[in-house]
Amino acid sequence: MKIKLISLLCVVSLLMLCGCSGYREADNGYIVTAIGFDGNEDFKVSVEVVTAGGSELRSEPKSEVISGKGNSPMEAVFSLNSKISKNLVFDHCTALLIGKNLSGKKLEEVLKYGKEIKELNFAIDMFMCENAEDLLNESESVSVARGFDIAANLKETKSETGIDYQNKFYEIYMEYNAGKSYSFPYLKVKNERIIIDGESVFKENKEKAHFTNEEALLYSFIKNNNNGGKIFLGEEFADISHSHCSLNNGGEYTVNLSIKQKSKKFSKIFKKRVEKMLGKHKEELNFSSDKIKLKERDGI
Amino acid sequence: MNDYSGLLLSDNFQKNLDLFKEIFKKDDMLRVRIANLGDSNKKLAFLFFDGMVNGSLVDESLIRSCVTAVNVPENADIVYLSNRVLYSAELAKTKKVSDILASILNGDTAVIFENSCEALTVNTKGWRTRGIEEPTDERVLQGPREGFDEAAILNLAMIRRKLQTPDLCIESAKLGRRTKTAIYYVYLESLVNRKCLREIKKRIETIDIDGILDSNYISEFVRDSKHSLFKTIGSTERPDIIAARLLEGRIAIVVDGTPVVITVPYLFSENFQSDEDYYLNYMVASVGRALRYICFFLSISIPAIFIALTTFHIQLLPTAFMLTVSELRSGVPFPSIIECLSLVLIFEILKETGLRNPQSLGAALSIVGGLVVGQTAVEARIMSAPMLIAVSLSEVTGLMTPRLKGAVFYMRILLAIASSLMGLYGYMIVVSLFAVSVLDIKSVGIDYTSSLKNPSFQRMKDTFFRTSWRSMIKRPDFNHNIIRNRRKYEN
Repeated sequence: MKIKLISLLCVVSLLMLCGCSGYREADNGYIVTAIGFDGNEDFKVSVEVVTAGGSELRSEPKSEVISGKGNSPMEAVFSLNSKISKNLVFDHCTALLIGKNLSGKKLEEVLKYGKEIKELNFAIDMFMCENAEDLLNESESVSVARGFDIAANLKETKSETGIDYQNKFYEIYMEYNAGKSYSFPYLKVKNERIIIDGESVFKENKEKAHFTNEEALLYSFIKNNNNGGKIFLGEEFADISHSHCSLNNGGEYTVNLSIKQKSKKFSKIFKKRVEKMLGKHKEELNFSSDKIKLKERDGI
Repeated sequence: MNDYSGLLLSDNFQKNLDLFKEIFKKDDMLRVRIANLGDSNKKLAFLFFDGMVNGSLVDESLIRSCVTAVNVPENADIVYLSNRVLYSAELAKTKKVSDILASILNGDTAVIFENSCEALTVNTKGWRTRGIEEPTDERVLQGPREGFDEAAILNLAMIRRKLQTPDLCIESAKLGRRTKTAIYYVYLESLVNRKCLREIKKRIETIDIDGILDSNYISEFVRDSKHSLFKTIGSTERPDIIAARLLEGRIAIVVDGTPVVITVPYLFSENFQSDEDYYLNYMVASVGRALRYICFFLSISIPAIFIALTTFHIQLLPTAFMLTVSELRSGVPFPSIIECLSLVLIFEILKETGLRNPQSLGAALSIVGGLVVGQTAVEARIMSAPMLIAVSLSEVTGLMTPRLKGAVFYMRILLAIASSLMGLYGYMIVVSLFAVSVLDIKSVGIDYTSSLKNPSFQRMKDTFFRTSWRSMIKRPDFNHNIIRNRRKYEN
């Protein structure tokens, strides 16, 4: 009996000691749906927040963009916080935008900041754009918030093209830490809507290449992160159901493709396209066209 | 207080009468009728309490038969009286004053005979009872509608009518120094767990209290895990339920003066059984049974999980839902836990007042409760609509398990507090503690969760669902040494 009482007391004390860390009421914060970093000389952070209707019942939630500046990402976020009355809640943040003018050490600082703050989800999607603040301000949201639009757009593009962008924060951070190249889907505003227009490839925190959507698909075959897709060959689309790239001991790349349509010309055209792309981005991609062999496997 | 134990009647008729008059000198309900035995000079005194006896029985079977006795011999004594004169199915002879007192206080009539140090006590009980009614808290759609009443003798008769077997054993005892309440142990000789029987008798014998007015007095004295939220002693007002439990090897304790009969041992799975589970088709009954388990879990968990998700784990909620909750909660001045506890309290108050108020006030009360709590509080931003929905859902689902209403109330509050302190971690810690405590409970030495441990199809036949009577061929195995097979008298 004594032992039970003591155990109960310990558990209750544990509950009390844990206090209220992490406790916050549902209406006690602004929900951030997208965050963007820009900056030439200093850092500028822009967040899109969604607020509840307020005093009116059943009013539509609305989104707005707030910005802050500072010498570091943390300072910029701090200055942003000082402008608002409630805390920022990052649990539903779906997009992290990096402005094109943010490169080198500044990009490194942003990546480190993203790792340090606990509120930001490690699986958040990262994107590149010309200017994050402008992108958020100039576009109109289709759904509740632009952050959700960007996430929906990404999902749609992935399913249509078959590209697996590998643009999660933890994926990019791991590649950056290993000194490898990493890429972001590139966003731009078209007719007041945010669209994905290609991919930006980075290495050592500098942009090395910018692919169009088609090049991004080809690149994904070589990077081995592809679940199939369509490649336009000028006259027809080649419907690729599966691809696999391997490197043998001799340093040769072998790309195996499963093509849904039978096309005799395909391998020639595909290789030419790859060579053209590789020629354009030879140094960054670290591939050599004569070390690529294509094996065609006709699908059903 | 003198219980007159050890005091015996004397030979002196007047002295005996004076003794009883002295004992009850402040009780105007005692009646003393003195008469002669037939045409002899031998005097008799009939002592009884007005209102406790059947008047016509006393008049016709006792007084009249004594007064109109003929050819009374000179040496007529108490034996002659009992064998030749009195018309009565049940009478006893005693010398002890305490026995006579106990009998007449129970509605019998004492007959004191001149020159005899013995008296006769004749069964003339005639107090009024409520009659057989359907218990209000245990209504069924289909099945028997009899219910016990306050007279233990009648209750025992109802049980005996269900179990017409010489295997039925009824042992009596008295409890309560002043009330001397009669209690009866009822069980089936060939099915009962003797260890349980010995244990329960031992516990009841140690009860020292001045009065037992209800079976709950006994329950609280003898129960295992005295501070546990879960009841370990069953209770019912229905004779068919008692019969069913006796057929499973349980022991029933009938207490005079209350229609509630208690049974031991009582298992955790019985909290989810309904009286009519066995009178409806097994498929229908199984749905109800499964629903009760689900509703129990929902009832204790909904407020706690809602608080945990909206205060600690908002990343788990869909954004649209989160925005709705945030919008509906804006402007509410109280933290979520205060809102929740206040609503739980309000609902409990409404339930209690609804139970105890006259029916004429019921409609007004429901309007007040619904309007005040449901609409006005939300519009005034004192409460938020999502919390009101969560607590209401929790209360409604709690009504599915009436046997657990006390446990559900406490568990709901403790889980909500734990969630408000530590989120889902706190919820899981408290749920684990509850699970450990339930697993630790015993009911008269039998594991409380014996039907849920080591699950097998045989054990599950009457827990989460009920199979057809065709396949329920064995009794539950919590009573280890009883005949398991329902169909034949074999092990």
